[in-house]
Amino acid sequence: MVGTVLEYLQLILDGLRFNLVIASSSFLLGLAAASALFAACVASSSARRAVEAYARVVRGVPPLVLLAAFFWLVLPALGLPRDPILASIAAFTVRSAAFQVQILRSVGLDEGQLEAALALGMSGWQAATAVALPQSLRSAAPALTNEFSSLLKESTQSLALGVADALARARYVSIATGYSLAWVLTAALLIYLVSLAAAKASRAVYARLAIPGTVASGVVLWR
Amino acid sequence: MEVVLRAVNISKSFGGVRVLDRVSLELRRGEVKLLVGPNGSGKTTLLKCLNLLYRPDEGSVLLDGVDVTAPGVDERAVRRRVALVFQEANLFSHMTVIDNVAVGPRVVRGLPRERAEALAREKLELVGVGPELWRRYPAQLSGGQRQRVAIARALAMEPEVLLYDEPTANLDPAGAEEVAEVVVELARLGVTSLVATHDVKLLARLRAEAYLLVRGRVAFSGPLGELLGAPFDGEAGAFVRALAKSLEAVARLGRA
Repeated sequence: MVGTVLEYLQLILDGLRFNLVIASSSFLLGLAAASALFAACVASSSARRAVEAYARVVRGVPPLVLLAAFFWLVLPALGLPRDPILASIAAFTVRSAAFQVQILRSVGLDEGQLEAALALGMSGWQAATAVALPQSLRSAAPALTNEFSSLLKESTQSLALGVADALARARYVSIATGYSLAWVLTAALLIYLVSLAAAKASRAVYARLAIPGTVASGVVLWR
Repeated sequence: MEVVLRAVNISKSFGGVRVLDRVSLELRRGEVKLLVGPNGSGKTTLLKCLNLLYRPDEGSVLLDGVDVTAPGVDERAVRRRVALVFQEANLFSHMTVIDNVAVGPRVVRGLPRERAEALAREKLELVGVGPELWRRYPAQLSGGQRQRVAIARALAMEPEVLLYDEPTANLDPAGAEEVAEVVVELARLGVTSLVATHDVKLLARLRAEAYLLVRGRVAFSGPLGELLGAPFDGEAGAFVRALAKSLEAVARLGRA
């Protein structure tokens, strides 16, 4: 009996790695893309309009539609194998970049500092990457952590492409054990614990990145 | 001395409001000139037009005799040669003092890090910001220190002209004093400067030729002493009388 329970637990834990791989890859790739898009927004107003349109469209599309589009259309069109993990990472990267660029743009820029950068003779792109982006990334850290948590939960939708993630496996186990809700709750608990760890890690990173002499918003720096 | 920077009849409007109306001025090499005028008279807009942060709607700006407002001129190269010190220091808040000064030479002039930092150290020493402050961040500095770092940042571009936009306006008396000392010292060293200020102590110490800007027009240009004695009507008159009074009050305090 105990052996079977452990086997089931092992099965669910094995599935958790899909959630971790999909969520962290698309978070990091999305962050890189969002950083470039953010800098482009700061540097040029036509780029800003294009990025706004992209973000509006992508944020309005249900994740399942994006998953299907990448799996059935985009990957084959690019000559890539129809791999559910790859399609999930690509779809969630595109989706997350749209959210993350809005997060970066929402934290507010010091126009005076940008003007000072331009007054030195920097190009818009130089001012965006040397002055705006490093500051916005710092201020946005707490909101970006939320985005990672969302991705972790959204990654369970990759089941639609046949990815046997933690929640999908928990549901199989639940059915096999006579619809015991405990297994689904176990998967939820595991995903929650990963979220919690990410939040803790992010707070540590945020504290390290805080600019000396300024008060980091929303974070108490324990000494 | 030859004229380095010349503005010829420049005008600038924002949303139908004419902020600058056919303003002309000139600055010779090594010379310091003052720019005075009531708040909202267009001083900041004029300075930003001179280094092409704003593009004048009409008229031209000549740098070393070359019309830099002509189409096709690289405005970034012009900004590098005509540096602007803002009223708010506008230091980059995520960079240390030394990085604030070195980033321009590194990113814009393409100097290697060591050379950019050596240049930054030299300019920081020049404005009296010692090594004990170089690793600090802007939020850890006093207002006067911040503004001196901003001046060093402008100097690190090795500009031909330095424009100051009320550099002492937001500072307490001690901060204003340290910044004024730097401005006067740089003027003595022959840094070509145009200083927009209401600070009577700074005006008295620079005692240079002045332009009076009122409602976007040059109402007077000539020695500061003459400006104070000249009869003006309306807004210009009220401003000049108030300025003369403040200068007298400062002078009396000095004698007392």
